[in-house]
Amino acid sequence: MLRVENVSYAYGVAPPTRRRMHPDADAAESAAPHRGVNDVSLHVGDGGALIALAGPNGSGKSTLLKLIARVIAPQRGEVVLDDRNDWTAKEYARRVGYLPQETEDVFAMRAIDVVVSGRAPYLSRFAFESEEDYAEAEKALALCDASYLGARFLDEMSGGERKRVFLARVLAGAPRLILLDEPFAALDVAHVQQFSRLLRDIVDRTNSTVVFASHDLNWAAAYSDRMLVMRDGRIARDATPGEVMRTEVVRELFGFDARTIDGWLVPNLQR
Amino acid sequence: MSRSTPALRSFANRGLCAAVLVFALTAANPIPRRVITLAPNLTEIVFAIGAGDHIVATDDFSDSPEAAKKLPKVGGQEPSIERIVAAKPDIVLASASANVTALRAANLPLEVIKTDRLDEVAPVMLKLGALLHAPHADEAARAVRDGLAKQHRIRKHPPRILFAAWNQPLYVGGRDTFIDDLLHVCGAQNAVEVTGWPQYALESVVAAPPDIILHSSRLDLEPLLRAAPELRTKSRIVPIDEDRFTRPGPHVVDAAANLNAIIDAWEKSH
Amino acid sequence: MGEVALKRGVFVLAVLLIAVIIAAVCLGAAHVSWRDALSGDATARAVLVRIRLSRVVVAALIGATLAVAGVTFQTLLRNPLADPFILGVSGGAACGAAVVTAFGLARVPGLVPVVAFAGACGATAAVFLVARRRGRTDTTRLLLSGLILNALFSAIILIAFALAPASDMASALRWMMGSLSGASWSDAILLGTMFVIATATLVFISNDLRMLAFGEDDARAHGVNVERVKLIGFGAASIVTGAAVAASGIIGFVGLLVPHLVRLIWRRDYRYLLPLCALAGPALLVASDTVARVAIAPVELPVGAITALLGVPFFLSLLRSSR
Repeated sequence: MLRVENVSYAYGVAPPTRRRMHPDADAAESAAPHRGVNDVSLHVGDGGALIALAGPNGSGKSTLLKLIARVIAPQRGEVVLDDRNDWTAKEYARRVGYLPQETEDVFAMRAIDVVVSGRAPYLSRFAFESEEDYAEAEKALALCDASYLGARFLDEMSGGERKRVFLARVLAGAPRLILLDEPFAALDVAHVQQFSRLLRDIVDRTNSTVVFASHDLNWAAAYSDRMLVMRDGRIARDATPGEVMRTEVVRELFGFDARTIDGWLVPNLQR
Repeated sequence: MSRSTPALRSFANRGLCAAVLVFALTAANPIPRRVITLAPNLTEIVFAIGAGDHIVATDDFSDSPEAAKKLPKVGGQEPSIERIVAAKPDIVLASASANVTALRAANLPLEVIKTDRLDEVAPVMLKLGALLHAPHADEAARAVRDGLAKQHRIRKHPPRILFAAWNQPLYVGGRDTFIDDLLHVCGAQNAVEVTGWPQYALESVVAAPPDIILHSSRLDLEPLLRAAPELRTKSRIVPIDEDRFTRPGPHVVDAAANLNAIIDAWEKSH
Repeated sequence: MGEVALKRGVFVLAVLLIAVIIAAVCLGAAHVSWRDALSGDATARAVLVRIRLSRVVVAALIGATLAVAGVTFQTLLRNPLADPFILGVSGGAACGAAVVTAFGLARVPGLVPVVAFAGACGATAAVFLVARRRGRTDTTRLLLSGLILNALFSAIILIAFALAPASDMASALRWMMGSLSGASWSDAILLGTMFVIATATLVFISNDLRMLAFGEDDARAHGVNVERVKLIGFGAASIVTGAAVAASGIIGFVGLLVPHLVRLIWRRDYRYLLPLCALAGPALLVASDTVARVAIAPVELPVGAITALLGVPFFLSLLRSSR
């Protein structure tokens, strides 16, 4: 389904048109330490799966998700979906859903109206959402155990409720690939549990693939079928959680003193 | 002030000396005083009462009489307090609209002179005459009084006159203003019935067009006339010398004469 | 589903606007009747058609323009405090007017509005050039450069004031106070044309523009060409605001208040707010201008003050009653 081929993206580099105009400035910027992603390739097949994109802060997880979501364009390499890379923006958006870590909702609306806006890639220029679009939105809310939130306004919801509304918004677009950036970051442990079950449910019921970024190795491992471990803008390991969460692998990957007990990473408190 | 005998004596002496001096030098060169005027009409009045020689500085807007143009200037809306202080004035004359607080704060010998109305001009001349020991105050005041009396008209059909102070939006001279006083002296009627200098409804002007519309020659009335072109035919539009018509000073008689001429011309064409 | 709510809102506001306009053309300082005007009385016709009706129409167009521009700026900038003047449009216009006046050119017919319009457009372009970096226009940088540029403009205005002939300054002051007095049919035609073009442009991109309310990355992920939408949206809203400012000066508050009023009642996205603002804006400004004209006629009050006096209590009561 998805092929990421030798994709690179560095922040602070001007797009090609500007690059020619300011060669000196650009040279200085290229010398800056690398952030973003560097020569990443990966393959995601058809059929539902829950894939974790793990790694420490700044390792390039968010950037990679944005590249796959086509929020940013790669400076080198390409992102190919279903063997094509000439999708229009709307066509691509129907197939790939993306939920940023922080969602902006300055002007609060009813949850159902927020969710139905996830149908945007299907709307023609002047159309409003149809009954069918609202039906899709209701279905997505139901899938997220959030039907009861439909008539409520975003600004009167808890963080967990809001997260589910925005997940429903992604689902309303019926994407086959769902990209979630740090979905657990603002949630407490109980809600992390609830939300991860939700993700599993969605994969099972819609046969879509969920890729979620998480800086927490334990959560990434506990809730995924496959782990992509990132370090310094590269994919350092692509394996099952069981293979990654071993003491020697973790030590090799991150170079810090930790142990894994029954597949859980435990910081080594003895000096 | 100390009321000790020596002080009193010195005060009396000084007064005596002054009186002697005034006597000795007659009108030509009375008591030396350094005067600063902060409004053009006050400058004109001080010159008119014969104390112009004592003005050491004026505000930027004081351009009349000719002699005033050459005097040092201390600034416009916000005069420079530093310059005023540096000119070492014995007296600073300001109109009520000046920044009195700032001038007071600088501890200047300030005299605030109110000349908003026509009948205040002559009394102000006398008052300043006494204050500055000016030689021609009585004559100047008499000239204004007599001149205005001479210009006084009672007309059988008083024309309705509008004074347009600004075009867009329309600001007009209302009742209880200096311009209103001038209109009354000349036997005209102010077309505006409210007091002060209000922003005014153009449609009221068009619904009842005044006989004459006066406006400053500095003000372009075109925008207003484009919005209400019938005023071109229904009203007589006359540009006037704003300085003469808005400065309550010695030229009020000229203003009244000027206005009478305008009204007479209108009457003739009717 | 959504369209029903929109149609109801549009209907309610359209009725309100028509009622306000009828009241506005019937009330005024001059006591003349429409019957006289229609039966051929020249004075009544001049007062009602050329002076009063044209002013009401211009007030409606400016109210619509400012409200539409306001809701567009708020959505694009995701900032509830944004108004049509936030990116330096007002400062640029007032600056243009003040500089022309300082050079003693205020009396050249038609020059001040043209320069004011050019100043408004120039200011917006400058703000964009400053905020644009690496092919993207950062919202925070936009807001910041708009703020800074407005400060620069007020500095230039103050200096122009100090240098200009005192008697000419009132025309620059008019820009800063805002006034609908002397509005003519030619103003109405010009403003109407600009408003229709700008609003049609905004309607054309509204399905994309509303997505920007959730953030720019989010909009991109939904297939929106964010940079293009921002350029067209800001451009259309700024140009039409510039035309409004050139015609009537800076009438504050409508552009900030009306989008919030509409949002407090309907709480929907930009596609709904746009037509509702285009109806509520003129209703508020025409009502305010009517009060300004009639309250102590024939004396007129500054319309900006009445807009705030009418709008704020209404806004506060809505704010209190909304949950």
